[in-house]
Amino acid sequence: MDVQVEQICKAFGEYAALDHVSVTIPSGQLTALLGPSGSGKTTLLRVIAGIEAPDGGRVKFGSTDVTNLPVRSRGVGFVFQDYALFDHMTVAENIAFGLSVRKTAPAQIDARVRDLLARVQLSGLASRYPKQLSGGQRQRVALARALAPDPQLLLLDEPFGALDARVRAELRGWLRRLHDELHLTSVFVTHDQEEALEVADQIVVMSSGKIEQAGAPDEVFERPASAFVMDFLGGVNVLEGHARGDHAVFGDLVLPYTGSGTGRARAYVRGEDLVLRQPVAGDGGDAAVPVTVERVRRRGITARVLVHSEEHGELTAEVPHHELVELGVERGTKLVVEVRSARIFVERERAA
Amino acid sequence: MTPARSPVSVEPAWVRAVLITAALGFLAVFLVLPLGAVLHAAFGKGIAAYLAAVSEPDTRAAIKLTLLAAGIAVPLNMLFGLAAAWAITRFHFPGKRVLITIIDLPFAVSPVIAGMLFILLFGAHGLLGPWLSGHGVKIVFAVPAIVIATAFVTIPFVARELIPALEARGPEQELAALTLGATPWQTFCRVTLPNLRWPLAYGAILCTARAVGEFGAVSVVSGHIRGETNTIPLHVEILYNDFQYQAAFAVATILIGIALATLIAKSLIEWHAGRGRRSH
Repeated sequence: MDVQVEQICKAFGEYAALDHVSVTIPSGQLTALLGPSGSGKTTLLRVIAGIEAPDGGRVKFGSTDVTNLPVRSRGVGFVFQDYALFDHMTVAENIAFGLSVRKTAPAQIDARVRDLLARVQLSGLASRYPKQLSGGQRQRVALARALAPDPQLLLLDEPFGALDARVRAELRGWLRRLHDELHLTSVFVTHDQEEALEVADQIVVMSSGKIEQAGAPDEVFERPASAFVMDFLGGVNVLEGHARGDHAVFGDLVLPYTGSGTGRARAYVRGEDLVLRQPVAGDGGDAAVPVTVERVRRRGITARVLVHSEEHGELTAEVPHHELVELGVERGTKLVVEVRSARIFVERERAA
Repeated sequence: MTPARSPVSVEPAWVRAVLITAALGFLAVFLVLPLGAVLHAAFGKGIAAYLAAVSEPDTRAAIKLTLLAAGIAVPLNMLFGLAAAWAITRFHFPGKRVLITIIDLPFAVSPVIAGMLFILLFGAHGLLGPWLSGHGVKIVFAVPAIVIATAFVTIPFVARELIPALEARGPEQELAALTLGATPWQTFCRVTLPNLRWPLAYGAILCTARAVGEFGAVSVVSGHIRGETNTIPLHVEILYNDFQYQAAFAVATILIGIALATLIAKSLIEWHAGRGRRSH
């Protein structure tokens, strides 16, 4: 079942959390709502769930308009950011809740709870209370509880937000595998672009209550629709300059520009698209920028090299470890940077 | 981080000794000594005299009335406290500030004034008095006024316990219950109420203690009719004024017993609630 969000508006006082948002959540896929805090992503998730009533617009599940349907009749599983487990109930009672309020037969409830406990790998902890569990275990209980009534849609608000890095990585992989088994239409909210790129089938990038871009991770990453998306997906360097027809000039650096129009331009260059090499005689042409190494930050198999250029200020290159060794990079080394590829966004020239 | 240091341990030993002695001395003079005096006076003429005083018909009537007033006022204020705390913490509505202020009013107003208020309202020359007596309803100087006055002075206790508990918890668990398909009533019974059981019990106990011990407001509206409109505290006063000291103190021990029971129940609840917090 797909979800269609049409022209949804939601304001909190003067503040427009959602501004005419329209998007389709594809059926059976895992979609990430990605954006910085205050971008409206959680509000959109809550509007889809029916926890928050929109000021305008409609929400459709398949062909059914659910805009005015109360939350309990929508058949959504919702995993809250801080889990919202029932403190006074055991793990098994938490998971059984959604079935017992529907007067399901006890034997049936037992079987379903056992099945779900096994699925979330918590079979031994059925009679524990939430306070006796770790963060990752609570998260899995919350997920099992949301899945118990067999929802047609699973919504997760910052599902891994409150966990430490290792547990996060583990649960990400686990959520992906679970989704591949269930093929349940799922939406999760995150501010972590790596999480979205790694786990999701679809990414919806949001900013200031609007949707910037929606698409597959590769598409969003390779062909960002706006400077915001490019910037938010991370690790970019920004160069200021001008576009002139088929090329754009950034100081000494000239880059090809395939778009149309002239005017102030910004080049967004990812860290891995800045190539460091030793300077050779005859450098100083169109494509190479002389730089001095300021700092090297090792991050496992790649390193971030902060370099300083007279013209462009600080730049950060992402360099594989073996290249770092070959180049013999250290503080103060003089190198040359080449731009392998860049996205150029031109501000429309104002009528003079 | 620097290790947390107990502030007590930095005081010199003699300061500690002085403070502890002062605190314990104060307790001895103002609490233990009077308590001992009451018990001594109550049992001074022997167990038989004590039992006779406690089982005397007017005393029994006073106990019955006190329990009746508390038995109505406490559940009433539990309901009111739940509704008010829920409304205040979960909704925005005009008059919310006023409601919070009104809940605290009985704390601010002297109980005697509260009693006068009901005389002005329901008394023979009061606002509603003539109409009520025209319909054969007697409130002031009768049991209804005692119940009403008791309920009034105990309004804040339950709500004041529940508001911070609800604020601390936020609405997520209720929302979770709704997404899982629970009706609002199921959500209230199975999620909200069980989560509030300790603060609710705590509030109810404080409420009961105050209801049983209330003197000022009840004294104004009761009319002091022996065997009819006397509560335990009023009965103690009457006996005392009649120079029946032993009987007065004997009845007073009932109030002491209730106070002790309240303290024990209160500690048990604090221990329970504290244990829940520690294992968090």
